[in-house]
Amino acid sequence: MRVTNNTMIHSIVRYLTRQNEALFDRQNTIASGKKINKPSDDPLGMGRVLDYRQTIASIEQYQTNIQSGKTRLEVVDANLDLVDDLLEVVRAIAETEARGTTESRQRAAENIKNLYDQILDQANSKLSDNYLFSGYQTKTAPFSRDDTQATTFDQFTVTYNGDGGDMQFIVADNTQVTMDADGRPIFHDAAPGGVSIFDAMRDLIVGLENDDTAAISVQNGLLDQGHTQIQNIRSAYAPVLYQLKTAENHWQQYKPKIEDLLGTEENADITKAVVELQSLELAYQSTLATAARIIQPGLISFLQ
Amino acid sequence: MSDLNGILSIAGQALTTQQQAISVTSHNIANVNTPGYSRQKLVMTTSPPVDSAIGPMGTGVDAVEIKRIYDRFINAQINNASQELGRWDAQKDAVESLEMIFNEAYGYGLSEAMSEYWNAWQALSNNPAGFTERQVLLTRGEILTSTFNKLDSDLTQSQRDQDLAIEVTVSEVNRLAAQLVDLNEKVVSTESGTQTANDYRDQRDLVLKELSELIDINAFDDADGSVSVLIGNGRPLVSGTTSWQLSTQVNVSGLQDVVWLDDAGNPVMINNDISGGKLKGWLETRDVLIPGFLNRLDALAQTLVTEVNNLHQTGFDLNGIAGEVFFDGTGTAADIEVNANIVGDPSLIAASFDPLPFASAPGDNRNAVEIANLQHQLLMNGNTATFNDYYSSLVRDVGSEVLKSDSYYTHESEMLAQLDNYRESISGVSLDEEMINLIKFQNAYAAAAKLVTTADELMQTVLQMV
Repeated sequence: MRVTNNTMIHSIVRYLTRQNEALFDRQNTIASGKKINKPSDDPLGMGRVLDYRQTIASIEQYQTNIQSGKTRLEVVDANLDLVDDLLEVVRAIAETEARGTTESRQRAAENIKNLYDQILDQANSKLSDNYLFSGYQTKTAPFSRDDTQATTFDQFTVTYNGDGGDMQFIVADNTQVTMDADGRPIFHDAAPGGVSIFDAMRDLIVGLENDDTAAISVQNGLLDQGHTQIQNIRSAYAPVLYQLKTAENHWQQYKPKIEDLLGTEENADITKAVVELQSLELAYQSTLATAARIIQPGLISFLQ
Repeated sequence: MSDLNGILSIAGQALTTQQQAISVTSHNIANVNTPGYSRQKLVMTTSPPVDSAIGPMGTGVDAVEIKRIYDRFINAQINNASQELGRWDAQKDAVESLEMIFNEAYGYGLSEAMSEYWNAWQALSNNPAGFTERQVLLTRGEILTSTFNKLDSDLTQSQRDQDLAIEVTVSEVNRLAAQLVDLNEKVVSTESGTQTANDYRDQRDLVLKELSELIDINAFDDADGSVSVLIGNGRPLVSGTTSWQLSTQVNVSGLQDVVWLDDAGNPVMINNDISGGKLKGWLETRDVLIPGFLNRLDALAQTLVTEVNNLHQTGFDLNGIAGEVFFDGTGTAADIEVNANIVGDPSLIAASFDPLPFASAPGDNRNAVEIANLQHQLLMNGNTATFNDYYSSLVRDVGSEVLKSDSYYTHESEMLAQLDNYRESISGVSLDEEMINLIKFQNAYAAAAKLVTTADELMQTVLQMV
């Protein structure tokens, strides 16, 4: 083939351009630490990167949701634990006063009134400004009693102001964990077999004030039943907590795997890139050196 | 003619011829870097001999013609390769600009905006009456819609850019056609005798190459030496010294159609008849690729608007009133926006179901959960893909388009480089060669001069004999 000056110059320019492109590419890879710097670097990989990122963002949100759920369960459990303790005190007083005197029963009635209000407080407890036991009516105190009523009986009769709503926490794709938020089955159960703790305390107070031994003894049994009711509710939360913890463990193990996959997909192998850069540099310098030697001389340089 | 005058005449002819040869050589050297130049060569031949007693006696050298060294077939190949290269060059640049629009490599794109929007619904479900959660959801919603709007306006802007490029290119084609007419005239008038218009032909070949970078052409030589050019499915652009015009005309989409004006000046739309050159690359991007991406973006926006609004309207807000639409707009990426009423009053976000018999249900998160769950439902692409799947595939396809046009571009430019090398090997000027020729002709010239002095001396000798 007949090779002219321009043939050589053009091919050198072409090779240098190509090598510069490759050098620029490696430089980008090393500087950004990523092998995908634009979709065309690896279109399929880019698609997977977006999927992984979205999955990770979802997992982080699920973890937040699970944490909210766990916090709620813990707060509820602590509340019920306190209610249980208070109820134990009420029951002890009722047991003692079954054999008490008229005077001691009057004192005990005042005592129980205080305990009643303490338990009412717990039933009306809030988590970040939302009532825990009023169903969907989280801005309304679930239980209330009216002090302005004429009789003790009426004063200590509670009204439930909430509804039967529950609370759902999203723990995985299209999966929710549901927690009861209705205060009635806990404190004020009207269903057969259920007991209203508030009504039992109310009747105990009235019994003590009226010095009615029979009524006091009856309440003793009902309070015992109330204790069991709260214990049952608390143990019913166990599977929910288990569900949350299982989901939490799952995400804890799953997330690093996805992060790993994301890393493999988008992170550059810096060592490899550096080695490639070095060999490209060598090639580039050789081309330059060759170019310098080939382009300069011509017959003209040797003619006198 | 073996007399002394004959020798002088041969010497004179030789001097002129070698000088012409040096002149051609200098023309070659001068044009070593002129694009499209084909090296030239003085064709020398012996003058007709005269009969003499001892046989035909040579009468020296004749310069016959200045010949242009070229391969007539290589130009057609170069033009074909230029058409393809022009097409992929334009398309590569265009899709690379689209790729920047969709570049999610560093996040902050629609994918992330969608992700955060759905997560904001989940966060709201954790605290359905929370003012902060509601505000965050609105902000995420607004980021999502403005990301849609931005993608749409960037794509549309890119489409306008292609449109402008097409308009400019059309006038460029007309300019080149006018140049061809001019060069045709020059070639025909130069070649009316027996000569060839070497330099004008080179220039014309170069114009044809430039033209084929812009649009696919079919060029052929006419008997009189002029070149005819057909474009867009056999419509004449140049024939002899006549040229036809291309123009542009706004179509129903508000974009410029490429039209060819017939003899009567009637426009004929030739968009679909253009199959090469930059015009093809821009037309393809403007009329096929960008509308394709816009449609998919619109489909995404449409489904998102419909699904979220449907659920939102079945829900009830913090005041127990049935939800309004969450997103306003006609369901395109261009005009999707968060309902201004909700932006003004976050309590209008419908996170709950019907609160009856109560006035409202601040703790009810069931509708928020329903909406958050849309994220993972297969609502796109005939119920086979989630929103995110659908968008990922869009980004992936943009990347593939870039990769495709990039590899076509590389392939075609390699091809053209090879053809250019081949052309250069035939028509290119080699300075070494020219230097050798120069010395060769210079020596011949010096020898011819010596002939003159020798003949002169011989003449003196003869005169002295008298």
